[in-house]
Amino acid sequence: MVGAVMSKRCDTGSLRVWAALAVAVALCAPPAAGQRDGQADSKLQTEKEREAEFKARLDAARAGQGDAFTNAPAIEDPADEAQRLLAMRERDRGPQFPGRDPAFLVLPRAAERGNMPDTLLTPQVREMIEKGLTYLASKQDADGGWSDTQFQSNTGITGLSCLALMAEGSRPRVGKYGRRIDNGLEFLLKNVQTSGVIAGKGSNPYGPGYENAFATLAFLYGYGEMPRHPQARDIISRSLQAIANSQKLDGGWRYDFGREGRSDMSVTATVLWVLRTAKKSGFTVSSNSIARAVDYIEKCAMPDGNFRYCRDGLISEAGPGGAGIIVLCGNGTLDHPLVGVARNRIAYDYRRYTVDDLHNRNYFTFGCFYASLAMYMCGDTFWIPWYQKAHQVLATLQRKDGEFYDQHDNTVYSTAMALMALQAPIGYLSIYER
Amino acid sequence: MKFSAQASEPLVVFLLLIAAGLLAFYSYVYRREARQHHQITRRQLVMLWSLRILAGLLAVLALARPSLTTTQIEERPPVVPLLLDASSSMGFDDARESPLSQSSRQNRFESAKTAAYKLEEPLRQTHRVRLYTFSDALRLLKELPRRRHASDDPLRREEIFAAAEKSEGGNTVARPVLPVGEHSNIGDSIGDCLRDLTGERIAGLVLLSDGRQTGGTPLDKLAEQAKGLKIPVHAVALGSEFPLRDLSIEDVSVSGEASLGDVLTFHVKVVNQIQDPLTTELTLLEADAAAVAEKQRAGADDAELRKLFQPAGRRNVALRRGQRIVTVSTIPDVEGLRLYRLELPVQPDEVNTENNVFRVSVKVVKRTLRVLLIAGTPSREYRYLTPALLRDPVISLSSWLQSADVDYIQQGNISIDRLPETSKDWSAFDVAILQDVDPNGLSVQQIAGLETMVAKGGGLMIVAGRSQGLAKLLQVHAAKVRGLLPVEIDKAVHPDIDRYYEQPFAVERTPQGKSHPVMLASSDEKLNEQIWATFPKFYWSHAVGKPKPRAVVLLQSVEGGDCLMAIQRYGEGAVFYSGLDSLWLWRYPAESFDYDRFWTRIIRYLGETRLMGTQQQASLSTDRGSYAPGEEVKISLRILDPALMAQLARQTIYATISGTARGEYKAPLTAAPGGEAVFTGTYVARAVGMTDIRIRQPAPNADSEAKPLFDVSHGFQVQMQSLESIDTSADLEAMKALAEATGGLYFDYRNLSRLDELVKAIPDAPQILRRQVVIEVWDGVAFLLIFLALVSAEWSLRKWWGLL
Repeated sequence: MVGAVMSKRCDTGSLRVWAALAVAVALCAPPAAGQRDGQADSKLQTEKEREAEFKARLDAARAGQGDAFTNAPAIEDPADEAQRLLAMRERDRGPQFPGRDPAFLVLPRAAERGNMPDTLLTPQVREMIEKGLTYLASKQDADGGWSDTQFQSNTGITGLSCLALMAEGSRPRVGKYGRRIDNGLEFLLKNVQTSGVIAGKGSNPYGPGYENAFATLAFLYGYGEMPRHPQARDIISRSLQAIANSQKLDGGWRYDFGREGRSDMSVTATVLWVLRTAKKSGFTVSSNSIARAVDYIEKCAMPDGNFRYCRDGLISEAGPGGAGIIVLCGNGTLDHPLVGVARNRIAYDYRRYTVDDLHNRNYFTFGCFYASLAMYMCGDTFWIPWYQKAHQVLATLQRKDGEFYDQHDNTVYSTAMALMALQAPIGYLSIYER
Repeated sequence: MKFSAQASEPLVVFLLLIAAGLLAFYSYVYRREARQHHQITRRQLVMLWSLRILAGLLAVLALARPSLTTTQIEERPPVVPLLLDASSSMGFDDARESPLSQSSRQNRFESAKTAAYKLEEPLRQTHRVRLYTFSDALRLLKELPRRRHASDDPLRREEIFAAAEKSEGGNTVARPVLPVGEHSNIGDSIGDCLRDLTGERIAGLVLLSDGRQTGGTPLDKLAEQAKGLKIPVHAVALGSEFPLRDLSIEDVSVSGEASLGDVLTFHVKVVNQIQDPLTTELTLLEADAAAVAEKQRAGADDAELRKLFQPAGRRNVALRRGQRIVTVSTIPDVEGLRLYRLELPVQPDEVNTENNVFRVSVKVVKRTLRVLLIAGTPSREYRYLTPALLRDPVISLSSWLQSADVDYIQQGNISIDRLPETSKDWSAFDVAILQDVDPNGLSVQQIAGLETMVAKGGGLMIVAGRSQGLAKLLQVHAAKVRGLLPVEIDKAVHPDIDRYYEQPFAVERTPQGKSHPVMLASSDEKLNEQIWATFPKFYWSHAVGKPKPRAVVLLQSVEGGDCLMAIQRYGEGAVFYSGLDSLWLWRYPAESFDYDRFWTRIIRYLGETRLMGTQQQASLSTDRGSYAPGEEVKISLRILDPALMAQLARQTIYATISGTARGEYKAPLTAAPGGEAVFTGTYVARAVGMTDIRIRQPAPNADSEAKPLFDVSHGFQVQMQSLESIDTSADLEAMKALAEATGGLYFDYRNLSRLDELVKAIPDAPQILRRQVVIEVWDGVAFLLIFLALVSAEWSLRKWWGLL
């Protein structure tokens, strides 16, 4: 995983690694204006035009003059008219925070019956999803867990795989992949340590921060429908306790479960995501703990919309931008000045670079997954163009058996993350929120 | 030429007797004269005898009345009567497409005159043209003079269509004929015309009318009569089959009371008689009712009052010709009595622009639906349901997650720290949702309070789930829950938590479900079907027995027909059952759009009694908006909710009718046969003025103080109406049928440009009149002179010869 690799680089301090990283970042960073060639400018212009056209069509749809993505006339429907009116009123009113916790953010409802899912889920995308799900299901181990090239019987990868299958619409024991999900969650149950951390033998050698976070997340989304495993609730509580106890002094988290040392942006954002989900699932989470973590994330941000991997790091990049947005929005600060900047940065990246450019990025699916969560939250204006570009890149990363790979030839976690991003338009996994 | 005697046979016998008498008399005279024969010669005697016999014969001949009969032959041009309808309906606009129309607003009578004017000129050369007008009776306007030569000056139009009338001074003046008749008795008028022209050869009768008959002989009977007489009736129809060019708001249906911040929908009955289709805009304006009333008292006109209204909504609509219900919505932001004004733009050449505006007042009150969601665990349904409810501005949600930590702050607009206990606590809520609840987390007292809340008009939704199941709920709280549930549940059958559910099953709406407001994703049935067809299949549902007798099943599995959703009325409230725990699957393909709205519809349905005061699932209407005294008013009460219909089964509903007349009248309404959810009854319209119908229906077995299940009212106008204005369209079909039945030609605005063909079709063969002239030859001067000469000669001779 990207965090693991970057962590290794930061900790070693080797000049050779730093040099390599600098070169990689330089290659990933947007080129200066003077370096842009004419072809890129022309492409950018086309993209801008497309975006302008898209916005115009979307506005027309909102005004009831036509459908956003087809030429079909607006449907006259009194019931829809009433609902549209309510939705417009809600949109004007903006997000709400029922109760006293910003975690319970409620965004306005859609004004129109959009056809975003059918627009994005083209036959090609559906085929990619189908092949990916088949591959993921086939890679489940006999013990119910999932392994990857670098991580054997890993709870984090198992958690991600369960979430990817849940995104299809399956639930524990119910649905096409219900059996797989149930087996996966049983595997997680078997890998709960006495400390409460959900991590097995195949965990990251630097610490099971990711493993615990993703496994807890899978439990949180599954335990409401696991009547056979009433102990799941207690396991989540214990995991949350372990997370609370391991918050570092700088406010964030990292791989290890010790309070000392430096945090990183990626693990901290993932843990915050877990804590927010836990709050919405009936678990009490310390507000102070969350506030400190959000503060850490804010300190990782750069004015250009990128985030540094560590608060006191020297290098910033676009990859963690999605995670940053999720954290800030999840904390109820939709109007946080960093959100717009980071969102525009991601949108720019996906417009500016070609499919090949993005394909060659390290840990593309990892960044793509977080970016998908962020862009989905930002609405169709950003989400649809982003998705249409992202799935083209993902298509180049999918092999014939359906798996998506990274530069270390890990195929399971990247397949799970790619599947979650690709299946987001279906709307069955509530990690994608609006 | 022929001679004959006009005397009858008895008279001839009588004359023979007279002749015999004369002979006897003459014999007597002869014997007398024989005594004097010596005075005259035989020759003289013969002469006298001859004169006397001749005179006698002449007298007898005169008495026999000899006559001379001759035959005279006369040729007369045939008659063409032009019957011009002068009823007031002919004052309506003619069809805009008519080639006779000189302008877009020419009335039918003017067009009829133009047609008659076009016809009379060529017809007068070959026919005798008689111009009649008619409304309640036929009236000969004039017989137009023959036109002997084509070079003759034509008649002036004003001259033709003017009636001679005596002025106040006694002078005769010509006044133009106007279409002011109160009736259109077409059949009677044609019959009168045929009688009037008895003996005349009628080459064809031309009827210029809109065909809209208000009484008299039916046209089909008249057609038989004309056919029998072999007289073709040529029908020239004026007007069109469509009513007058008008765009109007006939009626507006809206709740009398609305919630502040919630959608207020106006159902507007629009009648388009302009064109098909007509694209226009319905505008909704809003004003403070008190301010408008104050201005009205100050004498402000409509234009000034209009300035007080602010735009509140608008809707572009494409209207087909005829009547259509259009909805327009707004969200009231101000409390109090609000006056809404609905406007349709005035169309070019519209006959009535006053009916383009409709005003209705609505009381806006601040009110929300308090919803309590009790969920066992944070299932995926719970995750999606909570924001769906929180998004609705009228819903004030309190959520209670049973599995939550003890110190957990529960979600919702109003966070609660404990579940309601007593009936009083429960009465603070309008709708409760039990989503796969752990029955051990609810006390008997809480369930009793919940039951009381529902019985008093609250709503309850029970969502079955795989974690707890309803059997467990029934085991713990059998007494109340069994009565509340719309379906039978076997309390011994628990959900199988060890089983894998990997086979999907499709669901379908029952016939009742298809029309139930909760299941209408769109009011457009076609679109609704399309939306439902896009929803994916389910994998799990709760096992149920059969639905309760008064429950209405809304959703079932395609295979097996298992009940998946059912609803039943319970006291003044309602209970909704869902055996599906994954309605979030409906988030595809429109994200939260259909899913959120489905829940919104359910909650509003269940909380309607509390939100609106009574159920709104009943619609009261009459077949028309206005009636003449004595006409029958057909009252319809349509029950929109099948569950409410089931609750009202076998009941007679009484409508209270009150108007300007003293007292109230109760009209019974009975359920329509055939299972249609409509109660119908009749009432005879009485006093002129506004009449109101109101139905306040209590729940079955409820005491007299109980709140009614629904309280609906409707008004209609009783007014003296001209039969002529009831239907402003022309009856082209009747005119065409009359022409075809009699062998005549038919013309309307579509083929009036070929009116010349009518002239050619009317035969001009003259009428041949054969007349026998009888001349009684005895009855003449010559006959008298001969007789007198004979008598005088005989007398003179006798005198001459000294016989006297």
